[in-house]
Formats: sequence, structure tokens, C-alpha cells
Amino acid sequence: MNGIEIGRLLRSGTAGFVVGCKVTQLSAPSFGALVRVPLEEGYQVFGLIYDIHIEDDGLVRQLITAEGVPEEVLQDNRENRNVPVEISVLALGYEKGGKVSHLLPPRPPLSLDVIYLCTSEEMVHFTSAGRFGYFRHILRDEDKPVEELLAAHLGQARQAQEEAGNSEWYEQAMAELITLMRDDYPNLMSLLSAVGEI
Amino acid sequence: MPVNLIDIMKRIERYGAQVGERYSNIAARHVKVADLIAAYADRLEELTARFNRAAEVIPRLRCAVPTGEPLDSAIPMPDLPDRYTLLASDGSQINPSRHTRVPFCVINVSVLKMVCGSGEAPQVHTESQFLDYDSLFLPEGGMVSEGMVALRRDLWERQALMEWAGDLEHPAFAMIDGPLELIREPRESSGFSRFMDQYLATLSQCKQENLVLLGYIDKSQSDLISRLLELVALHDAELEQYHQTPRRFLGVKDISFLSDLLVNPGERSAIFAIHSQSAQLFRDDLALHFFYLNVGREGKPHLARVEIPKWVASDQELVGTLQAVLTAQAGILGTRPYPYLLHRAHEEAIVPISEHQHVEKMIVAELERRGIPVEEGSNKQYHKDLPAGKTRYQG
Repeated sequence: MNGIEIGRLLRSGTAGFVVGCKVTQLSAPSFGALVRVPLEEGYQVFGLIYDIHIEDDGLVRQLITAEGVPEEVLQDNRENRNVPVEISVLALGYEKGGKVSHLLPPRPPLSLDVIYLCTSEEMVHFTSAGRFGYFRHILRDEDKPVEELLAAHLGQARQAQEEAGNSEWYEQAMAELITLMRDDYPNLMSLLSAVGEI
Repeated sequence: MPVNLIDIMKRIERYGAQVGERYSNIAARHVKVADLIAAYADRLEELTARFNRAAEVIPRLRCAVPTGEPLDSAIPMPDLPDRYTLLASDGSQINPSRHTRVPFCVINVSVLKMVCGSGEAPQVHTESQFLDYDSLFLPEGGMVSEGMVALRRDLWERQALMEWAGDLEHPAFAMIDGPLELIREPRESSGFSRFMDQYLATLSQCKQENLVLLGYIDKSQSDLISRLLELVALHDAELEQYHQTPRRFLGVKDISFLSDLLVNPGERSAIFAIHSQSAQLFRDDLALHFFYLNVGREGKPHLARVEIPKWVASDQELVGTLQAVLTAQAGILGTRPYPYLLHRAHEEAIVPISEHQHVEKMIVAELERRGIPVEEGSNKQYHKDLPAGKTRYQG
């Protein structure tokens, strides 16, 4: 069950990992997208893209000072040069032997493991398991744009779930989030505002 | 022990005064050279006659030779063609060293080929040459010098351009960083003439393929034109004592007076031939010529020296296209004009220290697998490789 390959693993830890990809691969991944890393037969780690980072370098900075950048130079910088595109992923859970868990994975992916974008079916499979336990991991880290991330994820998951005939999933997810964030009124309001733009 | 800044500060004052004095001397000479440029702008026959006389009596004369264009020429560039091919080559090397665990030498060369106007990314070719162990040592003993490795790299940079040129969409230009002239030492060594023969063969091949091979020299320190004008200022008797007498226009670089002439982007100077001992090895259609080109922006001139073979110098249209191509290339890097593709070739070719260490480890592993004892690196190298202390400059 392969899908769209978005890159390979640069570094990882239990709570998340960073994927490197070529600029030409950058059209597929998006903020809030669910990804998976197959590690061995029957075991794969799931995560959510929370940051896509494009580093600059001396040459790029110098090119910006020119009046016009020819198309060949643009393509050279995107295809040939090691423009480091880094995609940061928050670990949300794993699947082992066909059973999805929303606990952190027992061991992280290894360097150069391939990362795939989840298909709609895979997204439904992961987000339907349990009772939204993976929201814990998203809400835990205050350094990330949590409300925006949740809104992006909910929008994508809602569409996949509705296509699969689960029209009640979104309401259940929102009810769970309101319960989890009931003591954090400002951020809850911020989430509701972000979700309102889906 | 850190640098003694107090002591240096005292000496910097004297240093500043010396610089000021030198600059004012050069400025006075600069005026004389500029006057001679104006005076001899169209007196090219007289200048050539003077050069011929000097060449007879000065054995190691090095200077520019006029080719027919007025000295004060500022020739504008034509429009850039819609499509053309551009290649650039650069190399770097790991020099063999007695301080490492095993001596070894790697030469890395990169060639980039870009079809301008195609909208496609350039092709990048990088090739590493790992020298045989036996070739690291000279027949008379000792290790090959850094100069010989650099010479080998220079030759390979030029040969790689032809090797990777493939089908060319014309007009086609190939750039290297630095002069076309091989001016590295040791010219006397037995290897030099062999390298030179191979190099001349490559230059001939470029001509056959109608590929313009050019040397691009940024921040040129050259004073070839200044040296030519010096000959006019010398009496016949002084010509014979040329190498024994102080230079009249010492320190006056060509770009210093040409900056006043080549004020518009894309303008080039007159084309000159190069007269020197080593330039004489390039004969007929391959004879070395050069011109200066303003690759800067409006109000910010920046002069580069461009070396080309005679067959290119004789083709005014091709030279014009070359002006436009180099100006466009340098313009891509904005405020610090330099041909984009040459910079990219350098970027691809460079061997970082981590790769140096990695190759050394691979060699050591191979020797150990064969049961060959491997020496330790020198203690000097060991201490140099220790993590940087807080006070030392690592430049």
C-alpha cells in the first residue's frame, strides 16, 4: 500500500521527526497533512506535518539582489542544488499488526526511511481508531501553531471521513477537542475561530 | 597566546602611512598611463614598432600587444541571442601530504552545461580522479608538489569541458576561472610539456567544435597594457636594462585606468594579444588574446579580464555575443557580479574537509584489510585537528 513519497527521514525522536525532500517533491505535502513511515512488515508510524521549512544560503541571498532570475537558474536551484527543504512531523501514533494505537511509537523511524502521504483511506483508518487519543500529542506542544494545525487536520480528515460516509466524525472530533480544551478558554476560542474558516 | 593587539595597533599606524604613500605614488603613475592611453589611442603602428623593438632586446618581456582597435575603445555589447549554450568548469583537489596517515590525492572536477533560453535546469557532471599511489612520488624521490597537482587539475578542468560538451547548440561558450595561459610552476618539470601538448590539443578541439573557450579573471591584478605603455616611456638604452631598472608604472593595474573608459555595463576594451614566454606556446589560431569587460551595473562598473584564443578574437560578432553572454551571466549574481555558472561549477567541485577525512578512512580500511601497517598521522596534524580552542583563529 504505497502512496505518494514525499521524502526521506533526516532525523527523528520518539515525539517527532524531520523529513528532507527535494523542491520538486514539495507539491504533495502540505501543512496539517497526515503522513506515515512504514518501518517493517505490519509496523508503521503516523504523524502530522506541522512545519515546512526552506533554508536559504549565500547564493540564494545573492540571487535575490539581481534584477531578474532566468528560468534556467531557477530550475538549477530547485533541481540541482541541495536546497534543504525540511518537513517537521509530529508523531501521533502507530499501527502494528493491523491495530492502530494513538500512543507514541515504541521506536522512531531511522535515517533515510521513506515517508508517504496518507491516502484518504489511510487517514480514515487512523483517525477512526480509538477516541481521538492522538489529539493529546497535538495539544501538548505550545510552541507549535496548535490551533492552525488542528484546523488544517480537521479540514482534511473531515473530507476523508465524509467521503467514507462518516458524517458524524467531525462533530465528535470537535466535541472531544472542546472537552480537552475546556480549561484553556483563549486557545479554545482561537481554535473555534480557525475551524470556522475551514 | 592571543594576537598581541596592542603591538599590532602601533604598527597599523605605520602600515597606514605606507599604504597612503604607495597609493599616492601609484596615482601619479596612473595619470601618466592615462595620458599615454589618450596620446597613443590611434598610434598603433608606432606602439607596435616599439613593442617589436623591445621584444628583440628584452628576453622575458611580458606585455600586451595591440591588435588594431584604438587603445581607448569602449565597445558596447549587442543584444543577447535568444538561445545559446554555456559551459563552465572548475576543480578542487586534496593534495598529498606527509602529515596524513597515508598520502593520497583526489582531484574533483565539475562541469555544468546550460542551454540558455531553454528554461531547463543545467546538466551537472562531477568526476573525481583518485591518483594511483605510484604517481604520488617523483622518480627522483619526494612527493609530487602542490603545483603539479594544480597543473593536473587545470588541464583536467579544460579537458572535461570538451568531454561533457555533447551536442552543442551554437553559439556555444565554455568558461574556466582564471587565465587560459598555464602559468603554474614548475614549468621546467618533465611533466609540463606533456600537459601543455594535451592542453593545446584540447584548445584545437574546441576550435573544431566552434566552442569558445574563455578564461574569466575577476579582480584582475594584470598590468599588461600598463607594461606596453611603459615601453614607450623608456629610451632605447633603458630597454636593454629593462629587468635591472625599477618599473616606471609599477602598481598601475589595467583595470584602474580602464574603469574610467568602460563606464557602461557590457562595454569592452580593445582586444590585445599577450606577449610572454609561456604565451608563445600558443600559436596561430590559438594565440592568446584578452580584453576587459564591464560586467557591473549602471553606475557601479566592475571590470573582468577575459582571455580568448585568436580565432575568437578575430570574429567581431562572436566577441560581441561573448560580451553580452558574460554580462548577463555576471548580472545574475546581482550586486556582486560574477558568472553564475562558474560559481556553480566551483560549488559543485569543492571537496569539503569531511569528505577528505572520509576518503582517508576508506584508504586506511583497505590497507588494514590487506594487513598493511598504517602509520599514524603526524603529531603536528593531530594537534591541528583537535577541536578549536576558544582563542585561535582557524583561517
